[in-house]
Amino acid sequence: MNELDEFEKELAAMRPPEPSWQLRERIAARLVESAAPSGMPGRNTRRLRWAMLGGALAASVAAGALWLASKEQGAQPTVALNETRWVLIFDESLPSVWSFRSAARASESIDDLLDRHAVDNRSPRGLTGHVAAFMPLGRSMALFDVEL
Amino acid sequence: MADGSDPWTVWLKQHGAALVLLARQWVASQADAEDVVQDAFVRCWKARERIQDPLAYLYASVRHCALDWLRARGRQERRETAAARSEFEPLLAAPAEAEERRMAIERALRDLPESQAEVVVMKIWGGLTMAQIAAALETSTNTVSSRYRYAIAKLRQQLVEEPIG
Repeated sequence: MNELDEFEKELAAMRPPEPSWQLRERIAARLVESAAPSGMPGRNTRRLRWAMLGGALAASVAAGALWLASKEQGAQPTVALNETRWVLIFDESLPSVWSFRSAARASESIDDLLDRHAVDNRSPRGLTGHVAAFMPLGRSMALFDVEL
Repeated sequence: MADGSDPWTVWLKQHGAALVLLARQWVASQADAEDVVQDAFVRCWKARERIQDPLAYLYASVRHCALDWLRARGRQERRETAAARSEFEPLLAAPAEAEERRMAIERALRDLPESQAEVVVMKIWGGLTMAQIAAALETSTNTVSSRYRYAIAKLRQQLVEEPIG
């Protein structure tokens, strides 16, 4: 592909006109201008500086606004909230989750509680008796053997 | 400064004509094309140490600057410019006895699609390799090769009845 055939050689023989000498001079001037350390910053540098300055200014304004907002918010009287004091009142005579959870720490306690509730809520037929929530181990094992 | 001893003047001497010819694909007049080449050349020369293939970059820069130049002009102005594309500013130079042939070649070159004409200019008058052209156009070597083949075939076909020389 690098070899030119006759037709391509004919095309290549027709050279485009050389650029004017002014082009060379202008390029030389531009290169000198860009190479020389100048006090005047380039256009891109100036743009960058303006952008940085603008950014810093915007950040300062935003920070000031935030500071003012927080200051105003701090000066406002605090709204006195009505603190509601919740007083938990449990009637231990009634069966409740609370009372059963408290009693569940010991088998005797829960038995007593169940007894007490049974007595308090006695049925109209007058059924009374000891209600055991937890059967003693010996009895439960004996029952287990019998059933097997 | 521009006494021919600076390295950039060697570049300009070797490629200036081809670069202006490339720019004239989009920019009608020689003077405007030289403005385009000036911008591209200075940009490329300043960046030459950072780029892998400075020559491909130089041609790519001319192409980009020419397209920018074209975009900067309004549609109306572009139409007028195209209409006023001067036959008095030839794209190519030829001996007087080959004047007819030169004009026929220029007409055929202007009839090519842009994508093919730019490859022909870079290859024939710029002396770039297919890889360099591909780098300049940011495309594959295969694409460039096929564009070149099609372009040469079209030029040959259009000029087949013209005498050589």
